[in-house]
Amino acid sequence: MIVTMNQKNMHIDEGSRVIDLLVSAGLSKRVAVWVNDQRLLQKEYETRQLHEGDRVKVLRPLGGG
Amino acid sequence: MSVFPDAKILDVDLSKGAIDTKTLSGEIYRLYPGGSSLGLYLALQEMGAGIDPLSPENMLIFSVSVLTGLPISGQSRLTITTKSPLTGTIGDSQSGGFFPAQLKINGYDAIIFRGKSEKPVYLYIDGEKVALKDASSVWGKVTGEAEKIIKEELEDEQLEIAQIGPAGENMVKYASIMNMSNRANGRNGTGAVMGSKLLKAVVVKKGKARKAVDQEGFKTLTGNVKERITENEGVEALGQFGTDGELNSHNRDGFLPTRNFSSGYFGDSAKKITGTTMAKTILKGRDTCFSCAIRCKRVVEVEGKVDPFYGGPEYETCAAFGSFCQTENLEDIAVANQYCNMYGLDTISCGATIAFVMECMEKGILTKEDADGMDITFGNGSIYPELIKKIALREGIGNMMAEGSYRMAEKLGPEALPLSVSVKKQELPAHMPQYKPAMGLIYAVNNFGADHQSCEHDPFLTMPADAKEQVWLGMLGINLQYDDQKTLDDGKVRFAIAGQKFYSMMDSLCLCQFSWGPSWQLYGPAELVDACKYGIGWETSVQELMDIGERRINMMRWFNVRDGFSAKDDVLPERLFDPMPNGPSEGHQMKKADFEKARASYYGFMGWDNDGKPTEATLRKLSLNWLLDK
Ligand code: SF4
Repeated sequence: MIVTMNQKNMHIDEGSRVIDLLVSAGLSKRVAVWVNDQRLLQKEYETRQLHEGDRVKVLRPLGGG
Repeated sequence: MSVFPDAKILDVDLSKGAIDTKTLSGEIYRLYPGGSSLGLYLALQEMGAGIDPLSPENMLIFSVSVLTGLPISGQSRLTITTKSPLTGTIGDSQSGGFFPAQLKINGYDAIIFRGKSEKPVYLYIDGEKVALKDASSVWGKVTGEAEKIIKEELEDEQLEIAQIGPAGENMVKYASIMNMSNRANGRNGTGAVMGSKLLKAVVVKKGKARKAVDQEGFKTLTGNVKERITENEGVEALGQFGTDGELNSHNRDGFLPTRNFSSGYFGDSAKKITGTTMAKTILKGRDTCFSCAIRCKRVVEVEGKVDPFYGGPEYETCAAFGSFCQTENLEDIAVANQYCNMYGLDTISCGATIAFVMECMEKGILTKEDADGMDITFGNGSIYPELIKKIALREGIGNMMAEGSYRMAEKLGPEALPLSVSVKKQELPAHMPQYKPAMGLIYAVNNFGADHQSCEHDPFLTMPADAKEQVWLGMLGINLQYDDQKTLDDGKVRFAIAGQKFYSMMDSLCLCQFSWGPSWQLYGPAELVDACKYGIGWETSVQELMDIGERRINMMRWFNVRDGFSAKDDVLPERLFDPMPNGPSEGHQMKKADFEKARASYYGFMGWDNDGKPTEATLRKLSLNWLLDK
């Protein structure tokens, strides 16, 4: 199925969770995620299933140094 | 008697060649428990307004803290406090390494240097044995050579040395103080003050680590450090790829300072200078500071060009000599890093001043003739060794550049002034206020010029409420969530202030801000309270720690107010209010009106008047009433 992540189409398996999408994009849990404009808690990344056409926004925090 | 330990302070009068030892009672030390809090407390007792930073009247203070030298990550930091020749404000700079821990292990919390020596000297410390020694054999030598000679002369390899290079001797306004020849007290030109006093180095004999007073308790923090690192993705990546690991991510978002901050996008070139590329190419190994398990320091080697003895470039260095100057050759950047470490220069101000000159050349404000025939153009990193040496030795165009971009622009005229990307005459580090506006606010109001390690960075407020970063920020009273890091409003001002107080406290306790901090770091606020208890028997709280940070900020502010600094100096370069011109951030604009509103809120929340001066009530609240007579 296809979902969008930061406005780009992503092909993922049926039944994929948010964490699966993140991993397939080379990301970890250390990001902020919105699905269809709804912000998720970090613990929901493991449980929230994605559906065809979901709009996912991901922000990765960049710190200092 | 206080339950808090007393501070032991060496007082070195270089004019008289006299060395004295003083004790500061634990009662007072608890209010100013090290770092620049202690440095400021000592400086403000004696230094009045109007002192020339390069005159014998300026005090140069080395300090560590009550926690320095304990066997835990991120406690070995040295603070230098002095009046800065670059900014004219209070000067403040930190470095890591092994020197800080060893100074404390030798029994000292601070060293005051006053006056000016008749001839070059260095201070030697071996416990109670403290002496000024002739430094004529090392004056004029680059750091690596000087280190070798001192060790040979003293017939001792077991030494830690903090020293200036030729840039400090020549009073370059952004000269650093180096230890291990690769750790820098880089910012604010503290090395120039050391040079003005003809003090080449401070040499300490190595001793054994301190022990925690409650070793069992302390082990709850240190025993599982490997697991802590593995579980913390940000910290683990820092160890793997160094601070430069995120350079390309900043670029991907369109906020990597490029071409003297005229853009935030370095295109595909960013990949060539980012930490992952460094790890695959010139990285030879990782290094660390005393007792730190993170090991974030880089050691790089390029045969015949870059000697691993001088370490390797940080993110700030890769940006300053890379994207600021549009240079995509990592080897050129590594060479520049080595030359800055050899000659003792702050890599940020040095790279930024070169980028400024490149833009002046491009705009015809400077000609090739002015530049001694050198081709100082964007993209030409091959000039770094020659140009850095000229700056350090104040030769040709280097003499003008040694004053920093702002003073140079003043000389070149009104067209050049907007091209100096600086606050209070100090060049900006490589984090763009357009992307991190709370940090941009702190750049402006910070008491010693723009600094990226004086508050937490905005993006962590985008994290979900149950993420570790947010849980720790909640301990500082910051329970906020943003959908975008680029917002600047009252919530962000509260975040900026809470972060500033916490970071200010860390610069008082001399803690590394990657090991300790209020969001992504290895240890958070609660662990710090535990470390104080188990480490030295200090029963403290987040509240007491935040007060320490706030006290330091207000002491700094008071120091500056006496010299005429006010709201007019708490500004950002105009260039930063222009819309972003290209790349992923194209069109984004930080509005000046939003910034000015935030600054007004900041003054109000801090208990300062509209001109940025602390009110009497604010000083009294912080037990700083004594400042009213200073
Ligand atoms: S995290 Fe890096 S800079 Fe900080 S103490 Fe450890 S090795 Fe040093």
